[in-house]
Amino acid sequence: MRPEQRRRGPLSWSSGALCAVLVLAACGREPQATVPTANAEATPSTDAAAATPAAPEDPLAQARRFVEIARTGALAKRPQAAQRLGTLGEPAVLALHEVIGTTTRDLARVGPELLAPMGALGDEALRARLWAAVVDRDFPYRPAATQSLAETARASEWPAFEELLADPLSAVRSSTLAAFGVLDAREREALVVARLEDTSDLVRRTAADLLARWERPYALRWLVEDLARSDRFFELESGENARYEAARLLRRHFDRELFGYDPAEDPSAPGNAAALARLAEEIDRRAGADGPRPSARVQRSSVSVTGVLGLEVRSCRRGEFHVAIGDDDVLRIGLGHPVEVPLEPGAAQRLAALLAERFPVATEPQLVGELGCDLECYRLRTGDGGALIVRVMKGPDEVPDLRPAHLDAVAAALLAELPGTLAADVAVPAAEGAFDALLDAALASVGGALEPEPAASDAVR
Amino acid sequence: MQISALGLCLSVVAPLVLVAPAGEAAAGLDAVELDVRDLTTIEWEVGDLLPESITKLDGKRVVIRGYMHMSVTDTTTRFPLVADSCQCADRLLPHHYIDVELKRGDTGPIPGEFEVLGKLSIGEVEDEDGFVVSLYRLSGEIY
Repeated sequence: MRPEQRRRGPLSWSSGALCAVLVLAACGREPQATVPTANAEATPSTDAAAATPAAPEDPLAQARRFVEIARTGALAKRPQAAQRLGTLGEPAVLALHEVIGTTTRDLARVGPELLAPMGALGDEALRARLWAAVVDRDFPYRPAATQSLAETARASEWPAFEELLADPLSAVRSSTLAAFGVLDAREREALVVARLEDTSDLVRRTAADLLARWERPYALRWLVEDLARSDRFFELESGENARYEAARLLRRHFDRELFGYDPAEDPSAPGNAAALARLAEEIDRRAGADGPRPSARVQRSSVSVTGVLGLEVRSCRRGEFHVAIGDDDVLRIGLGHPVEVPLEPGAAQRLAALLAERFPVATEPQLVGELGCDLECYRLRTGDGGALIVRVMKGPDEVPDLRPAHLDAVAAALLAELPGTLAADVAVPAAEGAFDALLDAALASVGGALEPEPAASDAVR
Repeated sequence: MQISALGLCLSVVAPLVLVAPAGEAAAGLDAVELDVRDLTTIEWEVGDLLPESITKLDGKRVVIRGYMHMSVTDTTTRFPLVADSCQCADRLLPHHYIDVELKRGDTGPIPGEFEVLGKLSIGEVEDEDGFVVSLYRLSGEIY
């Protein structure tokens, strides 16, 4: 596709006019340990400390050097150093104990890369620290810690792994499935099959891939459904993302060409439609035409969610949520086939009035905070009928009261429209309690607790 | 200048991102358009051969859309372009990013999806330790 033919969403960037909102340049900042590029070292001292020695290296010194690279070296080298560390045995165990402290908070400070060798080395004390981190809901790298434990799973740990299959974080549920593969736990197949209907497409794909590797080719149908998605959440091309990820996994089970399928193209494009038909035929041939099929809720979707307000919350501690309120007074939760919940009449109008007051005109996208994994992304309809994206973002560290008051008002207004009776399991499998409490907790984890109604002067103009 | 956490204040738009000059933008019309996931969603380990569908892009002029890696916290002339703004669940392996070097000017952190235009270079580059420091490189501009 040529540049002039690119798909553009309703809120997409205009070509050549991309503007970032940079708080940091104006505010100044503390020196950072993280690196700005993938192959540049974090600091000169890291270079010096991690320089390759000329003579054969003492094993402990080597382990310490790899620990340092994994913590503060160039981004691209960190996982490779961690992988090597995991093969060094006792010196690596000693070197790790020197840096990971004694608490989960200490462990968080060394970053995510050392979690993999902590599992791979087989040391009981290191493993215990990993489990302590996984069960601490405030540990910012729970998916990585879970992945480390799952990739080195032990049969004695089944109760803990089974509990993680109901974790609020989809990345934790997905990582947990690795334990089933490592232990070849086909006797627990029913637990994996249940995840084929997870609310998260990431978890569904991981389960389908594992089942296919267990010679359950019917599970490939779940991946093909993702290949056929074209759903969107405002400007976010959720269907396209699912297509890329599903194609990557399907190439493990077919050849790389996938009958000519191209995830960049719409599923209805002639080449893709033909490829999807061929894939379906091939799966029928392998699995039999009568095997299990995906439910309607997880089948291909072309739903395009828009509305007065869309809120995406991604919290490394409390989970991911996509919530929108449409002009039809319907609340939509999730991606693909969102759950639809009728709201009180006038909900959209009330929100629209608030947004028009606080955001009278459309502007370029705005950022509050700094790039990071924790995100609140507000897709707002402005008073002039335009659209505005405001992102509240932060890294793994706690940042109190990050969300500005005028967005507190928006989030509070959205929460006020949610039915208190709506169960949390619309978004997270087996979650207990009410959905609004779950969303409120996720918002508190990213931007801080919602504050009372702000003064009008707080609004961004 | 130092700030407290509370000092991560709301900003107004500060257009510090350099965009491609008109000539560059015009040159983009001849570029191969890619999504960063066209390169990053492959199964690859150090030493593996890359698929022909990827190696054929070596030396080509491309437009790639993706996200800036969250490690970028200040103005820079070089940044990793990745498939997802959040990397808390995934390790950044060499095939998971494009090492973008701006030929002119610099940029600050960019939230959300954007595009880069330039010449793509493909192949493992190792450091003295044998660590692969990049697999995909792009020298060019923010488009």
